[in-house]
Amino acid sequence: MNDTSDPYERLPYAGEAYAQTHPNRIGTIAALFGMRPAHVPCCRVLELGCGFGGNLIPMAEQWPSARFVGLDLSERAVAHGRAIVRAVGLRNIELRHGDILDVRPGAGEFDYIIAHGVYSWVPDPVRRKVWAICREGLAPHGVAFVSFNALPGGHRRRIMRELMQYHTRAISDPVEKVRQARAICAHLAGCAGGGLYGEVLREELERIEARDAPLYHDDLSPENRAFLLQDVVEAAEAAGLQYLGEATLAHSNVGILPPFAAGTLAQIPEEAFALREQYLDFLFGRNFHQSLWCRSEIALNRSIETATVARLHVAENEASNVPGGHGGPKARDRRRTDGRSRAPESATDTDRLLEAALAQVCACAPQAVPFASVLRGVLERLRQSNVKLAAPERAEPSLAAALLGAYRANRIELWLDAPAIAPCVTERPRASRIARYQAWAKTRVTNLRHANVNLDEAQRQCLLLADGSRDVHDIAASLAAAGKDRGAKALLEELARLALLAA
Amino acid sequence: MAGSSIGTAAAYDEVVYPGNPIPETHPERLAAVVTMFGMRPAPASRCRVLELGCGIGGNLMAMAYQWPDSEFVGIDVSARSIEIGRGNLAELGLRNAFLHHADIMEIGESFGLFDYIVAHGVYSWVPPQVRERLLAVFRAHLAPQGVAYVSYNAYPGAHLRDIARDIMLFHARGLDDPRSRIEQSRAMLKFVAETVPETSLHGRILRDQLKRIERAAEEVVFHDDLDPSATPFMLHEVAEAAARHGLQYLSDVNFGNGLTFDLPEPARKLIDQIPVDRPVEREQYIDFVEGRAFRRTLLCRDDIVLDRPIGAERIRDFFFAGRLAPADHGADPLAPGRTVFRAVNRGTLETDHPLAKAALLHLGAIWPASVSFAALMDEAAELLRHAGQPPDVRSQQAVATAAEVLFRACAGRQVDMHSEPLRLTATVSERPQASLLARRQIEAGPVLTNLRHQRVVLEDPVARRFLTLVDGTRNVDELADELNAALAADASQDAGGTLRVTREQVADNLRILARLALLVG
Repeated sequence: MNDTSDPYERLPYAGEAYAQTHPNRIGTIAALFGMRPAHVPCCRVLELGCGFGGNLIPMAEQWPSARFVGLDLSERAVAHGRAIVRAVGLRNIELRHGDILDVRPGAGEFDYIIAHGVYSWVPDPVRRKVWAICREGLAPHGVAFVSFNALPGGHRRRIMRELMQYHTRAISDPVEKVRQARAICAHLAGCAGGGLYGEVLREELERIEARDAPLYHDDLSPENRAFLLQDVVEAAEAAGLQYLGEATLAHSNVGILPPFAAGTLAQIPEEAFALREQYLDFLFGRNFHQSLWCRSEIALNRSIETATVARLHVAENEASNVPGGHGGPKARDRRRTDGRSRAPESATDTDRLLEAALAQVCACAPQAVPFASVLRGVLERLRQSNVKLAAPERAEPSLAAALLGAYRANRIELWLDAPAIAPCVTERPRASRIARYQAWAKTRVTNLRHANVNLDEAQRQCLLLADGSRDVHDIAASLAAAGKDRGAKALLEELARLALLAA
Repeated sequence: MAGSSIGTAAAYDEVVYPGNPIPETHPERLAAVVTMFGMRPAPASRCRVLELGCGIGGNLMAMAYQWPDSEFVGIDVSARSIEIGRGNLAELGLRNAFLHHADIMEIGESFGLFDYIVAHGVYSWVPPQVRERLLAVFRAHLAPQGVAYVSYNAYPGAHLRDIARDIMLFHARGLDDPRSRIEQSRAMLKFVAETVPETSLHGRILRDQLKRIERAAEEVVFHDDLDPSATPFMLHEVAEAAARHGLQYLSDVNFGNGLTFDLPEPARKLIDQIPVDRPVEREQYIDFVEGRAFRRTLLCRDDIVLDRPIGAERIRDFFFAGRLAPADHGADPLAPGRTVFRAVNRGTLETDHPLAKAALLHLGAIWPASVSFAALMDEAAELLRHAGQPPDVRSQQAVATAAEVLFRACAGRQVDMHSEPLRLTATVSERPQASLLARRQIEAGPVLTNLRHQRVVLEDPVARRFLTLVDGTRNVDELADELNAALAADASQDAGGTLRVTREQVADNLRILARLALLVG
């Protein structure tokens, strides 16, 4: 065993699905800003630093006509991933072992390139190469997802990081390193006084008390740099790329700022979009960016058109699946900007439409429904409850504007395409092969919204049985004692709500 | 401020760094600290001092005035600073201070050896090769028992400062004019800090930084926060760099920062597991606990054998000064039980030991004068005898305990220790005399250096005029008469009302000058 060459062996990176990297979401942002992104069913995706494929494999199973290529430096991780691909029986995904620096021009064209958790953790030449690969490999309307640690918010994280690195400098075993690193952080946070510095230590401790692998591969990694967004933008521009925006539009929501501040930011011209985001970093203290990039010759439209929203699919935002905690607006702040709390007599068409739309989307969950179908459902609801619109002829653009507002505030999701998710328990319920594969070994699985959900033991056993060959009675008969108490039907309904059953 | 690149030199030419005295760099303080570690430093009264990045020489000039038999050499890359400094030296007629417009890279053998080398506000502000050169100069030019002082911005505390710095630097990019860089970046930090809600930690950090920036002098903001090259370091990084140049870590300039008795219990336990012969490691963890953002590190040659841990015994060679008063004015401070003493700007300390209490009381009474350990014990014993306490108060055991209390007070900086008595008087003589340096400085502006090597600001024009008259030739009556004559002359020019001072007011002001450590006789 050689720890230094491939620490993945001793402490594998957890590597799971990252909902925010899914072409379905990335493509939505691109479409909103006036691009013509490739639709998910037939797109081509490249992931740099794919690990064992925890992110790509569920996508590949869900979209059999799309093509997926993953690259990782860890031979063990790639071998592990290939075994999963074989076990699940996928033919549209290829995991390659190799160095990002060795990627040759002409390695193919991609509609989406994902580099999550790479940029801040590699040396300078690799960083430059990431941009070169994006520039050469992206289709004309292709989109790249590149995440990185951001300044100035990242300064706070460096305090504990330097403490951990100093404290564990003589330890080589990854597991022991993590154990000692965690212990010293807890100890120090306990010693520190009541001042601001002590507060920072205690808050950082909370972050660190998450799982093992990120700590080792992130904070304890010898290469871990944070950047000002503006510096990253300049590096990307030098490679012929431009900043498209954040993968989560709600992270750029100025609605939570006091009016005078929002007004000041509004003075920044639209074409200086990245500059505005830079000032948002200062205001929000964001320490992590999940940013989207496209080729620099693409003409972007920063004023989002409602007609674009009308071409998308609407899905409920399950708060539990919101990738948050990166300094973006928090749930309680968001409420201030929505229309729900306004008095009914002062309600506008937008308020009325939004309220009905949220109810409609909730009723359809966990499915994503086309805008047109939301509109139909909304009008039907308004008719039933005898609510009249002031301008019924403008119902469609008003609904689109209302949904866009809700999307900006992270209350709903907008997707380019609708994945095949069963809205309720079908005749012979079928969970994805990857979810069943994952459920053999653990209770955390990837659902069909590309989010990770935690199962209890009864749900896990039920999921393993839901392979499309059994009906509810067969599943009930095979359930172990723990599951029998709750009943197969109830468990399957729970799985359906968790978006684990395919249509 | 020393630098090497032309750009740095130009920046310092435009906004001249304030030429303030830096009390911590004074040889008699440095001598006291390193004596604690078993070194035998040159006395401040007869030593050679080199300051790298001396600016206008404000720090060296006050030392040179105080110690005419010592030699002070300063270099700086700013030609304008050196020019101003040389003018000041000539005006004072100082012949033991020499300022050179030079780059640190140009220091050659001809400079000779120094007992003290000071580099304040340099290390974090120069390129890597200059930092290396700085350490090389320390090693090459330190006398065998010489001490080097190097200050720098320190992690982990500076990470919080960096948050504000990033915002300010980003906003000031593209602006060349120093004045607008300062104004624009301050305004932006203010905007951001006041926009982010105080409920978020980010908001609280920014507000805290805004407070710091608003208090800081413009020059400090310009050179510390708005210098994109300013780089903080962790103590262990500086110590390791110094070790590569044949230097060893001695102590923080405040030796108390290396001691653990003031730390919370769990922190003390953690740090006391580390052997005392690994001071860098111990103090690095102290920095992690306390979040220090600035460090003043003393280094010496690596062939010196240092005594660790340090103890109270050695302080018996020193002189002490302390601005202390019992916290409870009503109670008898010498009554049995604990007495809490308050030190101005330095927190409190408490003791129940009779001799120690009397000693602290005495220090407060004679402030700003200093007293030797033996004399302090005598005075304290005398106080106790007056208060009717038993005659064995000055037993060996009692003196040892009092020394321990004093040692802790020095560690906590409630009491200052000096290797030599301060050359000042705390009492007003028949014909009082203010320091010549202060009298010259007051003619140029309101900022003075006192005899404790501290900055004093006298804004009031009458007080400034008064100070120039306190030259040892006049008694109280003469001072009152001359001041009134001068004020009357001013008033006739301005056609305003005449302000008259009384003999009592003059006597009061003389006592104030004494408290400000401005009187030499």
